[in-house]
Amino acid sequence: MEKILIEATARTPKFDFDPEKRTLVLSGESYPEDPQKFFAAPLVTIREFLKQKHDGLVQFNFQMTYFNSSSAKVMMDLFSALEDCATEGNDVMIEWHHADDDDNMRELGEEFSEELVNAKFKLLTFN
Amino acid sequence: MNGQSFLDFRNELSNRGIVFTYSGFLNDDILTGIGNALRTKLALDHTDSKVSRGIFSAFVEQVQNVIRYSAETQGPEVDEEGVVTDDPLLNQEIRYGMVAIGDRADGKRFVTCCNMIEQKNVPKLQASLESIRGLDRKELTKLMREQLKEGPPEGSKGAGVGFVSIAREANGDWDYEMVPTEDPNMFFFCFEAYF
Repeated sequence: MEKILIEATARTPKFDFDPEKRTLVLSGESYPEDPQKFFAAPLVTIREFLKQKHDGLVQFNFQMTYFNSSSAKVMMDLFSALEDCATEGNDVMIEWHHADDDDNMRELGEEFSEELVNAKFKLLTFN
Repeated sequence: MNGQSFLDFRNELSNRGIVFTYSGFLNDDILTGIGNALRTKLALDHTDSKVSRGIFSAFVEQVQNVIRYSAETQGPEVDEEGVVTDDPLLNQEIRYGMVAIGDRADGKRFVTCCNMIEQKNVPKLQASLESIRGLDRKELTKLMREQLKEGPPEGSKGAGVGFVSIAREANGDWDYEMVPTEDPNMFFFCFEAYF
């Protein structure tokens, strides 16, 4: 499985996936005209990756400063796929980063984590 | 030329506290452009970061609603076989709407978007907005998760959670109106969020 590195643009996030390290870091902002157009192709790989059995920790870090509601759908789908991956017996950690004073982003992370039973979840603030 | 009428128009906007406004056909580039200027203005005014984030977010959601759903639409151009032309200027769709961002007399800021909607779509939109009226931030956050999980409602192109998201960021302080127009098939839909 190949690495995926998509650099951030003004309206799309940096997408940094490393299958060997079993990590995905999503950072920046996301409010593209059509989120499907941006996310569809990389998410095919991610879904395939999350269906496999892994020997070490699978860690996905969300370091978003802003995303719109249609991108929120993508985040929620990722949470579901990560939870399924954990339910299959993998060790899964989700880190949700937010700015210190960004209650909105923190509350969204907390709310999304309600979907998780088997995946671990950690809230962190940006430095 | 009637410069005075434009000055009067400008003064009318300014009397209503409007700092940013756009009325006309919109596309995604307008969203990017006004959005960047809006962020700069909020930063130069040293606006509280939470308020700034809320205003920007409401602006994005509302303008994306206009771009997706306004009933006044033009393009893309198609040939006799109904195939969309390759011309990069003609193969796009633009939709008419209004955006206004400004300050109320009491110091609160407003983000307003208006567009025409077809009468047949009024009851459904009205019902969906009334269903979230009075909900507080916590309830709206929970609803947002539920809607994101269930997927978009029928007939929607987005996640269907745009209004829930705006209402949430505005801590439940929002309102809307469906204003009848001369055309019985068209209503003027205005949505406003306060920060």
